[in-house]
Amino acid sequence: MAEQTLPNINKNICVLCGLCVDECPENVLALNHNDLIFENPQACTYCGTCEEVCSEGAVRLEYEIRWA
Amino acid sequence: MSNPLDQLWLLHGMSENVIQAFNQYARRKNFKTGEAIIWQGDPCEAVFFVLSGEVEIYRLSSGGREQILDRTPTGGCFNLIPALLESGANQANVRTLTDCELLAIAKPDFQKLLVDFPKFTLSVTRFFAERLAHMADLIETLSLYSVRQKLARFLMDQADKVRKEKATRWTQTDIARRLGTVREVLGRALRKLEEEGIVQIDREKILLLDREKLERASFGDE
Repeated sequence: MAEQTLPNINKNICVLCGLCVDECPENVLALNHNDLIFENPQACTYCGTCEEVCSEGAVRLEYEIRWA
Repeated sequence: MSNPLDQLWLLHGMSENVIQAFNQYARRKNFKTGEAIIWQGDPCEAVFFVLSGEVEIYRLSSGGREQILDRTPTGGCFNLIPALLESGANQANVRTLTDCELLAIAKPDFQKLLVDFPKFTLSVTRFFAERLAHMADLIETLSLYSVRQKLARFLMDQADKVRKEKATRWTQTDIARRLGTVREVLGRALRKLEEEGIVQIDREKILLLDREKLERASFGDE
């Protein structure tokens, strides 16, 4: 199975506040031993909630914009 | 072996003397993704050239809202303007979008380059002309158009850039900051374009499906 794209987390910026964990509607993320991990990556719908709630700009769902 | 300075736009067509002087003054600096390079209002200490990576230039309101002014990829440069201004303060904030290797030339050395090499000065003048045109376009876009119109123009502009150079990737938050709006409003406008079959939003890709409809949206089809 092809690896699916997940949000990009910059761990140099992430302050482990856990807001993205709390707000993710699919419970994809978790805080584990002072690390932010993808606990259920297959459930990620790329909805962007984690990026939206992150106050530090540590979570990025990037898009390439191009003509079909 | 190619010279890494060859990719710097301002040095295209410059003589060996200019390149040597540039090399003499330039200091390499490395930054990780998401690092701040300079802050608006701080005294200008150097002009920067991007050897590799991409940086983002933005301003902040007192309330913390960001306005992205531009992105500078490999080959480009930034912070030239305050090097020539009386006040000498950085005019914007700059941060890295990727790991970056930069060349920094101290302000007095940059001014010396301009005095000593007229052809280089002409290249810098052309750069300023392009910046002015870009800023005029940005002012027009931000002040005269609806979010839908701005978004349609932005999407076409970015997709056209893919054909000419390496594409830069944008989050929806980035796009909102570029267009002078907030993510929620941007998200609604994007979803509406998708519902109308004008764009398709996949993971990592926003595909533009209908140029004619996008152009109509950019001129105000609401």
